Amino acid sequence: MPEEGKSHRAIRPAKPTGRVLRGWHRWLGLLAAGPALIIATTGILLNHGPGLRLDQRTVAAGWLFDWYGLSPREPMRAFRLDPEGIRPGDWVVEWGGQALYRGKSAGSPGRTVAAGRLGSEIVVAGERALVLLDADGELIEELHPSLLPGGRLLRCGERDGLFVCETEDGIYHFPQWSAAETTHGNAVRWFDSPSEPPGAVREEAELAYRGEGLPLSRVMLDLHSGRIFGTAGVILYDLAAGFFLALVGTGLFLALKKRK
Amino acid sequence: MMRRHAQPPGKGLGARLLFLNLALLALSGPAGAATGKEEVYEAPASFVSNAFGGKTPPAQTVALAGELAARTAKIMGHPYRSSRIRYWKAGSRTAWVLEEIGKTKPITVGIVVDQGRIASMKVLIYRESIGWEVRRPAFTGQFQGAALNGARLTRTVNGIHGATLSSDALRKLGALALLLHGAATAN
Repeated sequence: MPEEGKSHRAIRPAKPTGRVLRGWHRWLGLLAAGPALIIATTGILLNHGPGLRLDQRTVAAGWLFDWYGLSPREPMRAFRLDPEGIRPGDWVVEWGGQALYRGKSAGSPGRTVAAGRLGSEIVVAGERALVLLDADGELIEELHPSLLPGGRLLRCGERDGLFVCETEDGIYHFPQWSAAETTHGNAVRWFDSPSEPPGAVREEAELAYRGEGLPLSRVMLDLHSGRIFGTAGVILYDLAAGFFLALVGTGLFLALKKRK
Repeated sequence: MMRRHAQPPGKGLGARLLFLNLALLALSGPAGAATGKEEVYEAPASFVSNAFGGKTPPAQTVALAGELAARTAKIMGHPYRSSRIRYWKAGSRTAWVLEEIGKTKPITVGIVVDQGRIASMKVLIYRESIGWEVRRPAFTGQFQGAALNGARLTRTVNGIHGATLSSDALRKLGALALLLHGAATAN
């Protein structure tokens, strides 16, 4: 009941008070804290990158490779070059479309159908390209499949020192690696089908595919920008930056209000 | 006058904003490299065939060794990725299918050289998500008529903003094709 002599008045919304702003200030601080901590820490480290040799240092963690998409989803396909196939050097591994031989990248044949020795050379036949390597695994040539005859590659082999391949359209060989000629399939030493690589071969191939690891500077930069979390991370960091600006604003307002 | 006390946001808006942050983090995807899908604009065999009016001559090869390898490395800034390069030749015309890395993946380019000058250039296969503008005729057309002067082209090729590395790759390949044409026709 209103006091005697006083009339009802409309209830008006209150002006923002210090208590309201302090509440906002607290929540903004909480929201911006996580990203601000990461940004500040990585920022300091990046500022001293040359001194800390961030470019030379690498991170080689399996989960990080997976996160960056540096681990192909497809399984490794390993091809024995020699019947014994005991030593690592006797295998060519294809992983994610990349050929790997003796710890080095050896061309991009794509999904590999067959690989084997052809005299002093190594042939890696994939859906994307036919890769020729020398005995040390150095790339001699990479032929696009459109430069080869026939349809889909089925298997490959060797006869009298010439590369022979069977496709959906027939069997061909390549005298002097020039134009392909049709031929028969008699007396062809067909290359082995792919198999699971032995442990040592697998480890060597993983190292060859991924290199020494991700440069620490790269990981720091991605953490600093939020990109390590993809697009959502970038948006999150933008939001955090907005909250931080608002935090500064509310903080200044509260400080000025207190001075009055 | 009665005043309605304003409420701090803590229990309402603040909590919702915190939830939004956590949801965004939960939905975040892997960093991953921005790798594009391989785009094949023209198969190399088709390019070579078209370069010779539908009659593809027999393929020949040139070995990158000795002085030729050194001049190649000077043009490219590094040794070429393979030690042997395939080409097709009819009369004074040669056709080359060469590759060079743009930013992170190789770009496959077809180049036709006639009488010591670039007759045409075409991006055959592009594998990255950025810089693909170099495949446009407005860019590759700049190479027409260019010859080789030392390790450089005789024509100025204006790059494309945002496709600097891809533009550089094509400039190098243009110069390389001219160098190799000289070697192939000298033989």
